[in-house]
Amino acid sequence: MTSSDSTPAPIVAVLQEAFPVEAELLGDEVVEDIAAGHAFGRAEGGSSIDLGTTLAALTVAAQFAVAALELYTLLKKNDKEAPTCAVFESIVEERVETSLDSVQRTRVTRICHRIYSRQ
Amino acid sequence: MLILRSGVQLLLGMALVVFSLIVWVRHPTLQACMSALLAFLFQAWVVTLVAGIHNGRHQYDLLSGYLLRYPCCRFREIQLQDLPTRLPFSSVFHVGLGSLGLSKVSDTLRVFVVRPRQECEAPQQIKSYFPLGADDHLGSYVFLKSSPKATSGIQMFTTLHEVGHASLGSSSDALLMMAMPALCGAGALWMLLAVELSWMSVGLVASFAVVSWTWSRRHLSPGEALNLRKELVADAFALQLMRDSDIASLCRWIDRGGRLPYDQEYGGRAAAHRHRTFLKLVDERLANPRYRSPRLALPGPWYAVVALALVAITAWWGREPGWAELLVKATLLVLAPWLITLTQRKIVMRQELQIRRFLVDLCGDRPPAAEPTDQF
Repeated sequence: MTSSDSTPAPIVAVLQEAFPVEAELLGDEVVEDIAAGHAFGRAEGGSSIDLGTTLAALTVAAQFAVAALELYTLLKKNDKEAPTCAVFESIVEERVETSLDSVQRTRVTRICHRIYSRQ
Repeated sequence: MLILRSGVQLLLGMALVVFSLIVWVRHPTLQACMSALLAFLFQAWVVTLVAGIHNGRHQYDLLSGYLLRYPCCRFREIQLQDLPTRLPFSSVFHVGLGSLGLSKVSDTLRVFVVRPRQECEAPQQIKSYFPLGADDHLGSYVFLKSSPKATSGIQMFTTLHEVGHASLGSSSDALLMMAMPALCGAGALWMLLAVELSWMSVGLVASFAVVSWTWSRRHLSPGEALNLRKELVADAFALQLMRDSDIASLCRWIDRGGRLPYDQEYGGRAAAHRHRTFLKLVDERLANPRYRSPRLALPGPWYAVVALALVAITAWWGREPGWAELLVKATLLVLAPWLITLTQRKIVMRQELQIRRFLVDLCGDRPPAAEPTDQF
């Protein structure tokens, strides 16, 4: 996730707005780490609360948000005017190579809406 | 009921002493009295050894599994007392009434926020490492991923939950429970050497061994059930410390679809059970503003009652020990084991010193709370 290093702030905001429950569990600082592209590993021993699943989900979401943001910027640049939210969403969904289930579709829609509303 | 269950647990933990005392009642001689004293020393040594093994392992895990794995991270210490809680920490840590003295975990517990630096991998878990038993020389450590926000119920909960694990470790009940399988094994061996050998007495000792082994396997082995139990005790500890506003915030988070993260070692069924029990605990806490977390109760109490009855019955076959036998036992029990324990303790203390020095390096120029000395 190289481009996220240059644009962590909008990605942080998108993640916090699109995934409020997960972002609250992790805390603001950790969401910033995800947006900045930090890697996370598993420590051994002791007792633990494992945030691995949430971290992995938000990391993927952050990568997706970065790609979607780049796509939006490109569309806006090429067409001289911003695409509508519905058009942007359908273009993003077209680019996603795997078929989305209802939960994934909701997540994608949420991220697209947040990016659209913040631009 | 809880007192009764704790009493049975304590008596079974002291099965050797119970056995020897009954033998003493049947043969009121000096040898029998000495034998009871040696039995007490033996069981105290077994508990110390179990705690020592756990504490050595805990320190090894802390050093190799955390500190040496993330040396590039930035460690920042936060004061436990600065966390906004309903009750002061010193009032809620479990205080053991066993032979191990009072706990001072709130003094020895240190909490760190671990943040990644550039190009550095960070741990994905919130972690706690704690020694077993009340030991002022050994520290408990909690490593958070971010500073808990005072307004976030879930962040306060996860922080206090990990602190709760350290509280559990300080409980002598918990130590007794961990040491119980070893105590039962040692008890069976001791009884076999101290009874008049007959089919009946050997059968009784074998029955005791089978019952206590089954009990240990089912309820006390460090598997899913015991781990889950520890998690629930830590949950209850966190809930009793959280302020009402934090509980309300936590409830809102759950209503919005939040689910407690759990260790990947648990299966889905255990996680679901934990979530259900956690919701019950939250309801109890909401219904009772003066809620106190429950102390550990003995799991599988009927096994313990049967095992204890078998000890009492076997004691009727107990024979009066001779002086030569006592001398051999005293030599074996007083000299060799304590030397092993002291050597092991020296290693543990050195590791503790290493951990504290390492943390000073990771934190920058902040000095540790207290340096352990070579005097212990």
